[in-house]
Amino acid sequence: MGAYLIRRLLQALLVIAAVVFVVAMLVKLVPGDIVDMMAIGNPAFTEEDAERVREELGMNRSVVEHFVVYTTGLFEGELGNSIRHRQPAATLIAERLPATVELTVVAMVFALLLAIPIGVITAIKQGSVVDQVGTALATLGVAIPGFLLGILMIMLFTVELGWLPPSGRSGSVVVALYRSVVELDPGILWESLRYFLMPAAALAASIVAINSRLIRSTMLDVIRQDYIQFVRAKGAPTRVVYLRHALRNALIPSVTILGLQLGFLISGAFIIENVFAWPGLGRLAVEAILWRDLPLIQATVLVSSIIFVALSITVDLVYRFLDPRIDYARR
Amino acid sequence: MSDALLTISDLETRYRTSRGDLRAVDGASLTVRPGEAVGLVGESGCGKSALGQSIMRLIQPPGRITGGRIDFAGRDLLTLGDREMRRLRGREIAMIFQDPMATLDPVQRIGDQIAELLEFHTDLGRTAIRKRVVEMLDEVGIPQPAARYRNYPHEFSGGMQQRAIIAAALILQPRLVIADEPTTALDVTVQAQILDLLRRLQESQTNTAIILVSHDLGVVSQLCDRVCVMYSGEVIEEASTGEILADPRHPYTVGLIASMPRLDVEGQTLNPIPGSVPDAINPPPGCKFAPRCPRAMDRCRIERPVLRDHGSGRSVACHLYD
Amino acid sequence: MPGGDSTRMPAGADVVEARPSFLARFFRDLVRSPKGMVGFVIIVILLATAALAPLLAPHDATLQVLTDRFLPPFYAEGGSVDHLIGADNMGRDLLSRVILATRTSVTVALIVIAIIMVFGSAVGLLSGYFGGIVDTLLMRLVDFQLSFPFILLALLLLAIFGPGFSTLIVALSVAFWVNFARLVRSETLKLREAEFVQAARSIGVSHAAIMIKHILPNTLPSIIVLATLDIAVIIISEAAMSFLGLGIQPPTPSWGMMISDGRNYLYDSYWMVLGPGIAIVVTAVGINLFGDFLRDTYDPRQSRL
Repeated sequence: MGAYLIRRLLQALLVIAAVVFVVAMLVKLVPGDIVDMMAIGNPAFTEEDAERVREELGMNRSVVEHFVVYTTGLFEGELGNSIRHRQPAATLIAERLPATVELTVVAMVFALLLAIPIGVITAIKQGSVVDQVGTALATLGVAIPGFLLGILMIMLFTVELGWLPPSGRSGSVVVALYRSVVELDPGILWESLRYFLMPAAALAASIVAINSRLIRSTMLDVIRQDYIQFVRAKGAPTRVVYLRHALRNALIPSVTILGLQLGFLISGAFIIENVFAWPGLGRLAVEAILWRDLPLIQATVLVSSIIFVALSITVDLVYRFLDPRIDYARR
Repeated sequence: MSDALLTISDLETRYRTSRGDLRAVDGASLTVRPGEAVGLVGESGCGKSALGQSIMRLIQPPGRITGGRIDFAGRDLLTLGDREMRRLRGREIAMIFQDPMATLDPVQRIGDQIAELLEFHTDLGRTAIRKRVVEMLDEVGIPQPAARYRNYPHEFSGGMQQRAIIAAALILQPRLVIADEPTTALDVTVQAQILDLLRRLQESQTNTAIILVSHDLGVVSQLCDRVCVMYSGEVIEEASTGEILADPRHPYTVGLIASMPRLDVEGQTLNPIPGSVPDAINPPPGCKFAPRCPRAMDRCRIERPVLRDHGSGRSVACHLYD
Repeated sequence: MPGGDSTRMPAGADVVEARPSFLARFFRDLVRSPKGMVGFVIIVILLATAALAPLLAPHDATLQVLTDRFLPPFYAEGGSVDHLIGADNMGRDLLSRVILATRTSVTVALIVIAIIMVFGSAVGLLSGYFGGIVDTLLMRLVDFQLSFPFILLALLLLAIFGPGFSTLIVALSVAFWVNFARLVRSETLKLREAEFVQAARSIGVSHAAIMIKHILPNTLPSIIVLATLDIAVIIISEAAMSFLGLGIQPPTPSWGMMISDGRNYLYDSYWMVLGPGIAIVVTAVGINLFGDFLRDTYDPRQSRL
């Protein structure tokens, strides 16, 4: 386990180094003078501002010098200054980061907790009405893109029913949950949850669709295996057969796919944030592009990549924990 | 025989297919006495595995048992409820499957998989269970059993895996063990060891009968006192091992023994039985071996022969002897 | 999954039949499959709409008629048959815009799929066939890129080149080529060891000829199935990018941008999102159904959902 972890961390570092390189070189890669482009959209942008920005962005330095300066700056926590917001990028990101992480992680956990029972039940009841409904919903879940689903939800829950707000955020759901329990006041949780529900559901929908189908299909494969027959031959109650043996084996491919879905999840989160005006990194990044706010783009992409890599390693560790055979696969 | 442990009468097991019902077991009858070692021999597809699984009622859809009786220690297993059947499995009747790597759950420890039997069928606490499992692992010849308890299946060799499965099968001292091709997936040298182990264990546990299912008469003859020969879903001959080898009566058995290559004879030609097995979905009328039988008569193509007792433990299903 | 199958049935006979032409077989299979038929019909409609868009659209999609702003669909009060599904906030006919946007989406998808099929398959083929250190490195890259979030890649490209049609094509191509590379590589690995390939090598057929004449045709079914399913994903991704304002730029109509425009008027003029929304869903479902049919019939080895 130890050797594997080190190898994985080295890989991660390599990835981050690559991202840092590309991000740092962005300035050099943009055709034309980016500062001029920024100036066009910003009438308050003076020539002094322009010079300062050029200096900050390292446009006056050589490629190598710039790379060194940028990277050493990173180690000091210097992520550049947003041109549009006139604040350090690090501050902006720190403000927005919790929102994105919460949305992503909670939606993912919630999605899996839903997908597992759905997958197991539709497998056990293969061919029944339950299964057919599940299949239809899953096909839709994959075909309706997240942003469209989000808008449909707004149409239903905000415009039609008036139950939920269409945008914004009111603090962390997790913190609200804790406080709600401590102070025995469900209202505290609801205040935060009502903003969270639709974005999380829209993000989770396709994850639930994909995973429930995957678990279903692997369960169906697993149930036909000889070792399940062996468990039955031992006189095991049905519950043990399905939960202790079949499910554990069936989850393994799902967790593999989980790693791939992480990227999809983060992309989805960025998009959903823009549908619901959820104040996270996704909104920040899209705004930055539209305003050609290069330092902010650099910082956002970099931080997002680091988060992705960290989550990715976590998923890998979970996978290794679930499947003891993986040692052999590596050799 | 009233003192029989297991009596199968006219068992029928079928599988639904798009072309009709496939008759895996088609009116098979078989008897096993307490403590006996019986071999069940036949080529691939004759239904011997299906028969073994039917005894334990482990047939899964699209298969189902459609007829016959299975009397085990005075009860018809086909009439038992699910819960009662579950109580029997592993405790009174146990099974050893063919491919040990496929039989073991890849993500559970070996020891835990054996311990499950004690968990399901006894009230023993975890420590007592663990102790018993380690004892059993030792008995089947697994070195350093206490350490090996914690291994995963992929860390065991094929032979050791099968030993572990045998440990699981015998740990509750069942009255009947069905071993379905236990050595087929193993190397030849390991085969001999496993057979040795089975024989030793079966002799020491005098109350445990064993049905050894195999396509290999050689393997069966090493372990079993009696042999039943199956063809196309039916038992067509039953006799002691010596008698079957020396004096086979059913033409199929004759052909089977004649087709076994012998290492001690030089320059022999191989004598396979001509033709192929009948369609299990639409079998021919009359005796199913008739199309391939060198001694078939007209009667054979019309009337199905019944398994008849020839005395002193011999039975044959063939019109030649009626 | 290791091991065997407990529901393995005892021996039964198989039926062998004669082989008619490929197209005849295809249509015969298609007619037997309800989901295949539905998918196929949808795709035909889609392609026809895209090809004939300017002829089918009742109005000029970019014409702003301020007196027609927020006109509801024909079935609602105040609507007219002239603007069948209503007009948007600038008075543009929604039906025409949806139709024109079909052409945009299909064009983007076809261009991207062509690029990635060629490039991805070539890389996969070469990598799988020759193996070695290049193969290892390439596959590391592929594995990594497969899991990396698409949006981050897109953002980097957008930062450099700015939003636009070509940036969109490049971003989508960069994101999706890896699927093909991996698939073709794994097929190549299997086929490389096949007997007929060994036989060809033994009589001196060149590497290039083996790859093109022997290996590639055998990977075609898998490639086509993947291409079909990927097209749906590409269309959805393009819609998402356009929704964010980072894809197709106005005045060219695109479904994503239409939904983004309509988002601001959900309370009063919901029909602005309905047209493009339904178009996206029907397209994606149709392509997925057809792709499923293809996979069930021609390549059941691919993992199913």
